[in-house]
Amino acid sequence: MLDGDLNQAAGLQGLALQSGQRVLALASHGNQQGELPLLWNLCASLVDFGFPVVVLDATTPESTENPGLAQLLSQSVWPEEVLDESAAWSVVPAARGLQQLSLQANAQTQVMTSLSRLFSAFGVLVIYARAEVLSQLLAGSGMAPLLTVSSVKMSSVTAYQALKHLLHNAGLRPTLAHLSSDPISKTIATLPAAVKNLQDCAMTFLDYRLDSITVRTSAAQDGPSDDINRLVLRLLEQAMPLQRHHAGRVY
Amino acid sequence: MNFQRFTAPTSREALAKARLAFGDSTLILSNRSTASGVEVVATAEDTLTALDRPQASQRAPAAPQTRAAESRNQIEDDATQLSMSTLSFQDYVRERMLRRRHDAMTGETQEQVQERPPVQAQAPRYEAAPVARPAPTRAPVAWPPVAPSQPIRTMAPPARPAPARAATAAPAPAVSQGIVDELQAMKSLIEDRFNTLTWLGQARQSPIQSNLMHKLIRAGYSPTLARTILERMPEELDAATSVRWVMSILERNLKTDATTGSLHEEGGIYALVGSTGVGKTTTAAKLAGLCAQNFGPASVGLITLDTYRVGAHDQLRTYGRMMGVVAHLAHDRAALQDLLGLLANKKMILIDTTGLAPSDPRKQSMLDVLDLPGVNRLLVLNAGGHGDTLDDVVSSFKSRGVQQAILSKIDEAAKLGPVLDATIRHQLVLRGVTMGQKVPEDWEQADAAKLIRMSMRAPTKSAFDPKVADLGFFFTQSSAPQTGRFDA
Repeated sequence: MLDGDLNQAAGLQGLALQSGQRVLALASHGNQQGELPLLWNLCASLVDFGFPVVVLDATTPESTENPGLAQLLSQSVWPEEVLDESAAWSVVPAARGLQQLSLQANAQTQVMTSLSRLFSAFGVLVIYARAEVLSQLLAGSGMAPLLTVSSVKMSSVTAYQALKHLLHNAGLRPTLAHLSSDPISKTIATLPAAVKNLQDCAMTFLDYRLDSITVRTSAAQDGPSDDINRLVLRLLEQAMPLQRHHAGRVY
Repeated sequence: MNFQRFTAPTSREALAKARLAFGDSTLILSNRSTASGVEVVATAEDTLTALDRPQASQRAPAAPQTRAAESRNQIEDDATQLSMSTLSFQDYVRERMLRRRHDAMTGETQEQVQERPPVQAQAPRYEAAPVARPAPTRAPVAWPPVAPSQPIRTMAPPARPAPARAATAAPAPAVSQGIVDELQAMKSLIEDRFNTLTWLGQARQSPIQSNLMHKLIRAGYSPTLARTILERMPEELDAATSVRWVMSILERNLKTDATTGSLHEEGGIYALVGSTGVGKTTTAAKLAGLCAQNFGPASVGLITLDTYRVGAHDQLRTYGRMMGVVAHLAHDRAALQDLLGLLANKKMILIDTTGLAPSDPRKQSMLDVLDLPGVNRLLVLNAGGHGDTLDDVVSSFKSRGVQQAILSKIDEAAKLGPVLDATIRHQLVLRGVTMGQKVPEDWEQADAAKLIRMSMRAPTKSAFDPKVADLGFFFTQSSAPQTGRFDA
């Protein structure tokens, strides 16, 4: 009865159904004012759910001072130098590394296999990259990368470019989310103009119904908001599962 | 500024008066008839030109100013955007961490932080976003009121006094009618009592019947059901065959899904409802585990509506994580609909709900949330529950169409009679039974024969058992109208 490792769900664990790591993607289109806070919130929520998270930031190139994926691939650094074990999540610059991977590998599964091997200690891999890179990496995977807009000028134009790229070149159907700092308004009657424009353009020119998710964040609240948690669960549902290489930890 | 009002019996006179005051450059602003004649408002032309000039002179230089400001804004925007584009997520994380630590150390309130001017020119613009955050004192205003309980409470009381009033009002106009009713009631009471006495006498005389009655009541079946069955029992049966006959009748009336296939193989959308603590979440996990075992983790969707019980979502999420299934949380009907759309390609979707007592005013609003096309309700009943409690639960969670149920905690129940009795009388379809805590092993498809056998197994001596001689007491009360149908 008091055996340490025997619990109610021992049978469930015995089935070894745990799917491996999951890959999420956030499309970057130069609108960091909107993207970085969203990415921060995503990571905070994932960590809150108990997933060890690694962010592959393909908008930042690796350098010798700031080693990243390229160095990990060439095995010129120890993983400990790149991955911060003490922090809640790790951010790895990956611009060169991802490019290198997609050039080397002739199949998408190969890229994902090497990624999952490198980051086997992490439950969720978040790829933050431009639409072109995402299209190459995730073409045909059927996952839904996250796209966001903000009130910055040209934001909906660049977002539209990214959307078109993902939709046409890779068959990926992005999810649109935008952060709203107004935690009071429960009704989402007025969408920001940028979101509306993007939705209209997607409908008119791409014949694609782009649903928008409003994420209300509140500075007063310490943890991630309910909206962001719901968005994260939704993303996890649509995330691409990676094959597990060894019986690892249960996330 | 010189405006004047002139009144006169006719408009001509009024205009003349105005012209007298302002001369040739008179400008008529308005002209309307009043009770005392005509009223004209007039002014001199110079007044208007004087009025125009300062505005025009102001407006002319203003335009370039705003344009300049706009372009400056634009430049600033672009500059911030440029500086932003050099900020990587690493830096952003580092900066936010530092700020959080700094806040924690100085113990500053958020408001003070926001009021502080940006330290560097590089400070990104989105920092301004939290300013829009309203003062925390306003938050309780938007708190949703506990509205759902109110309509139920306000609607309930008027229903009660109505019959009382009718009862007191009725005898006044027609006294004779009241007496007739009373007599009628007395007649049916006497008939009923005599029927019972006759039947009891017969039952006493037949030791087989009275033994069976005793056995059924000891097993926990209701006297109503026991009598309904025994009344239909052929007289010529011997002791052993009569027991088998009673059990076969019970079996035939206990509806299960033996012919349609088990729940997790059939799939569909199921919402688990029931009282608190009957094991809805555990049952959901068992079903999800079985479905995931047969069809893979991608075939299962898990949603919880339970935002009330502390840690409910965490519990389901933990189970979900063990089998690689994401456990979603829905706060309202719209969110549930949204999630059902998202999970449309799953073989089986399980919705876990808040446990609610039958008298809970929130019950109706919860059932309304579940009232979506394709969502089947699975009533989870505690097999160890008291008969009346179970009756109460079943009738309060009653819905349209086929009622499906799961019996939980079969292993803990001392008597299965009450729960099987309620299932038979309310014509529920049993979709499965759970007999332990182990997920997912302790799940079994409902087997009528097995359940009836379990219920009729001779229980140990109990203080609640009636003596054969006490049987009369069970039927001395006038029998209440029987609920549910029964075919023997």
